[in-house]
Amino acid sequence: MTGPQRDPASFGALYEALQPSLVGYLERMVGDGDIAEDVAQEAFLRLLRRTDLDGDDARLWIYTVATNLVRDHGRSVARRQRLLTARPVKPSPAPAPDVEVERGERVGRVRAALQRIPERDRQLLLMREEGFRYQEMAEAVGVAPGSVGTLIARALKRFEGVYRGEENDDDAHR
Amino acid sequence: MTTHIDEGRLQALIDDELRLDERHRLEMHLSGCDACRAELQALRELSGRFAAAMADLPRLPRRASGLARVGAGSRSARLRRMLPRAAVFLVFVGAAASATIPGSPVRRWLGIERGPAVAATRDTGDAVQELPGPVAVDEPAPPMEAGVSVEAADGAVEIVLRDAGGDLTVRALLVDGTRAGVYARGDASSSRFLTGAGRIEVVSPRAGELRIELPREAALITVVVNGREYLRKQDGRLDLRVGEADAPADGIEFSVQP
Repeated sequence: MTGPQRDPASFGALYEALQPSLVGYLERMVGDGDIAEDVAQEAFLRLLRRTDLDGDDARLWIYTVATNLVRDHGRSVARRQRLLTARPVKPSPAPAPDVEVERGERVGRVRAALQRIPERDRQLLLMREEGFRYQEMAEAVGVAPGSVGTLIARALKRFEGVYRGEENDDDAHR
Repeated sequence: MTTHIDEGRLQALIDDELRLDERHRLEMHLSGCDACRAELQALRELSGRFAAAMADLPRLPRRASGLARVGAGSRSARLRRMLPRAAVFLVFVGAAASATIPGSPVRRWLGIERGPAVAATRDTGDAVQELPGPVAVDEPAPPMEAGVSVEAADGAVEIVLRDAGGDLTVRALLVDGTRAGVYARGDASSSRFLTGAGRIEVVSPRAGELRIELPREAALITVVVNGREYLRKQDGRLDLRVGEADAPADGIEFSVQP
């Protein structure tokens, strides 16, 4: 590997501090724990080369990079889906859930609703849950800080609309 | 002509993103505008329902050996190409992790402890302070589903935080009325809330933020954290009994002491 790298001790401390919450955020973004961990690993490997970032800057940077990686992953999945549609492959049956049924259904609805709202809405809502401030969120998504409140309010309404729709679908199928 | 507050600023008020002067202006308007208060309530409830929905999502079990998965053959082709590099810093991270101390300054500057709760020193001589005038709202904020509220019982309220973590920030605000509330943000949203007559108990708020609304009309209020009395409101005064606090205009903000 060429180029400067972080001091191992400081990088280790950053990893220790950021990895759990970053993986949790990504898992909520993509709904898949394995992908979340892979993306987090990729983001940390890139952070290893950024010796100019510390503290809050490093935190915001890695969340932004990880979100962009998720977006890239989503595009490649979409490409694969288009190929599969052209040559359909029979999916294997889903395993039976091994969790309390009602809670499992609720978790499924939440995940589905998160995936159905626009990507920017999802990113803003999840970053807000992670405790990012408006200024940081504005920088991450590329909007003016003054518009973040409006975007969040509308994102919450869109999530609610989709989530309630998922609930009604579930009730209809009982 | 009266103009109403737009949803963006109402949301910023809920998320504590307004400057103090703007917050006070909004609160003055809210005290006299039913429509804006109703809109604020609706947005608070919406935020609460979203937080409750997020609390349902399980957090992944933390694997510090996340790096070990890279060596074991992760699905990502790009990571597999980077295996030699990953193997190298696997050794470094192992050494660094053993040197990381819980509650270290690293956690603060990494933003895990959000807000100014890691305290500014206040040279008051003692921890007693007189608080300024009431928050200008006609009634306490309605509860979010990630929080609870209770009426004072015989003029008294007890708030108990059990197994609270050192990464938790607590903001206690005096509000008009007789209803006390505890509302959670971030990681604290996954805490368990228990209520009784004049009592709210929050179990395992390990990190994140809690906002505690203390009713000004209650004669006696105590806030107990991990078995220690942190705050007492009595005879019109709010005393911080443990540690140091940062003081927004309408309350006290503190972090949990080890």
